[in-house]
Amino acid sequence: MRSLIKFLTKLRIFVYALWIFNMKGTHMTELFSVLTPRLLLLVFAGSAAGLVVGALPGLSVTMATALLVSITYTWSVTDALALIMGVYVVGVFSGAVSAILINIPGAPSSIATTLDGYPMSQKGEAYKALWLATVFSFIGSVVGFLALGVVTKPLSAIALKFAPMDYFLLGMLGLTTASSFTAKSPAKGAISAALGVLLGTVGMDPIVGTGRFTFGASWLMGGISLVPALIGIFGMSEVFHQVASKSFAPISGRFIRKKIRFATIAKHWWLCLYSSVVGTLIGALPGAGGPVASLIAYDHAQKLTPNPAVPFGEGAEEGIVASEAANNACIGGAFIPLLTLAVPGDAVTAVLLGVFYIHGIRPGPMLLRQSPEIFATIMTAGLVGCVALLVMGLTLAPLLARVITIPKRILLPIITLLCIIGAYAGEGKVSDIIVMAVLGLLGYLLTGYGFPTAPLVLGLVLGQMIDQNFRRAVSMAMSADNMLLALFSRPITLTLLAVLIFTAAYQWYIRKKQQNPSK
Amino acid sequence: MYIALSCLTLSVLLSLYCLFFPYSGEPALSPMLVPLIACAVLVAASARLVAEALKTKTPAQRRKLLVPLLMLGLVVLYSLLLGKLHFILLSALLLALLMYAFGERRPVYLAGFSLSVSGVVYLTFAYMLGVMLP
Repeated sequence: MRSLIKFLTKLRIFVYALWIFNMKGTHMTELFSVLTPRLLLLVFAGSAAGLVVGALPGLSVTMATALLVSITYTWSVTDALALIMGVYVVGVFSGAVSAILINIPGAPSSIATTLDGYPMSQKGEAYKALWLATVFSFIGSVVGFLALGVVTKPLSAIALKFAPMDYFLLGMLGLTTASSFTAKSPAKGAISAALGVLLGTVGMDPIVGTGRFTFGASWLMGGISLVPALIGIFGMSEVFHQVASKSFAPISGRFIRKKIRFATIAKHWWLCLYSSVVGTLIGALPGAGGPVASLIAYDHAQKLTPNPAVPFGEGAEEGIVASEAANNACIGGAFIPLLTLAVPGDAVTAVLLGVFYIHGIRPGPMLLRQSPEIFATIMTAGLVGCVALLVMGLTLAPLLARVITIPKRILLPIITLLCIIGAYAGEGKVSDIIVMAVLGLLGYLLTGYGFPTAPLVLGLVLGQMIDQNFRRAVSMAMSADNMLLALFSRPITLTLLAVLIFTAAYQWYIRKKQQNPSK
Repeated sequence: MYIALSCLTLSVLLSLYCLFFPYSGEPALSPMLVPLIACAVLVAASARLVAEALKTKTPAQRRKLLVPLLMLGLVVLYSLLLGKLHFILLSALLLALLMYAFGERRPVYLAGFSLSVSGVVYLTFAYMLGVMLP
């Protein structure tokens, strides 16, 4: 009886959510009007492609979307969007497959998933990790798309008011949060983050055009590409580690297809909902995207779950729940600024902006009035993509798990080749292979000496954003009478600054408490 | 201590390198501004690591470097030969060499597996995904 009441209560919440969705945002009838067998077929075809592309290390969803732009050039915009939405939704989830199985995030947004997914895989719990990733990616995606339907206008109004100083503070908030991964030594977290920012500034400075940290090499003027860097830090470093340890037995010969109980899923409902909201909000902020969302959600999961059954970093279920729910919720969030402000929320939506322009559609405040079918197609294809994610994640993704039973003397050379081709495939530059290998060695050394790699990667991702926005903000403020007032007088800036200070102070307090539990 | 001192040395060298970025305009827009701040964080955190190492006197850790360095060299060699040899041939050679180094001794496996994997990878990336491979 008690469980029935609980179920009805949850159902009531769901009905309320649908009511808000229907009354305050998108109308359900609009969504059903574009739901055709053709759309279903295209979304499922895109989802199958997304599953493979996302799981292959080095092949990013962004790259696949960019390739699809050229393929779908002559298609109708709704068909093109349906196919791309399938690739996008399932591709973001699929990054978790390689993150869990071989410690290489298939997509940048799966970085945090490697932290607990791979340890679970090493313990022979790859199937359970994939199950968790699938279910919570599905829930996260649905929450993200529901939010897209409901809160598009208010959130975009806030994001519109962001100034350069706000973007800088947002970047700093991400770095501070990521540095808190290192519970043992905050200094190592700070070193890793600062190194990441320095790597992010390599190449030609986009404001004044001078080279930085290029050491006279012209091929470094273009900067360090993110995909080779990620493959090196996460994939190649793992190969180096395995080779140096000279253990060539299978990574895990104990792949067990266990039955997953409903309670295993249900107990994480609050963390899943929380992470989905965090993911949606961060996805709605231009430039932040999935990697930041998953890392911040992971950090919050650590704080919300002080005593997990398995410690974080050693195979905690909560780590996968937070990361996957947040990065998939980001998809819906990333569309909010794209559709209302024509500002892409992440790299894939930046490519989608190109799709709109190719088909003569101008996204922005007038899109909902002028082309309501575009918005309905994105919403419907996105929600169908969520269903495809659940179906394919539960049926096909576990088949990919068999890769872990291959002996390492065969698997490691294949991973090495995939790392090389993944680094090369993006821009077709041989130099990217060298960058990947060198950063692989850096990652191997850093992890070996206890430095976390997550702040390094976040610094690399956010380096340019932090650099450009800080300089622009200071430059604008210098022309004002009171520089400090010009920098920090805006409510959004003050709020972000307060959150940043609070986060840093809270982490300092937690560390002090851990060092002196009696006080 | 060894690692902490290495970090400190590296951060000081990077800070000095930042000072030589060519620029003569508005100080706020200087390309050295953010790298210098990052270097300052590096110096401060490294100094703290040195202090922690002095305080705790932790024994020196050593990471095996020879094998990863050899592998790095092999990857660099592969990248240099990429335009000169066909992808399938070069990749098969790399795979066979790595498999042999990791303990595979069966000649049929070495030849058959490396060639078939290289072929499948080539077909997947070059034809199905449209990646330009040499």
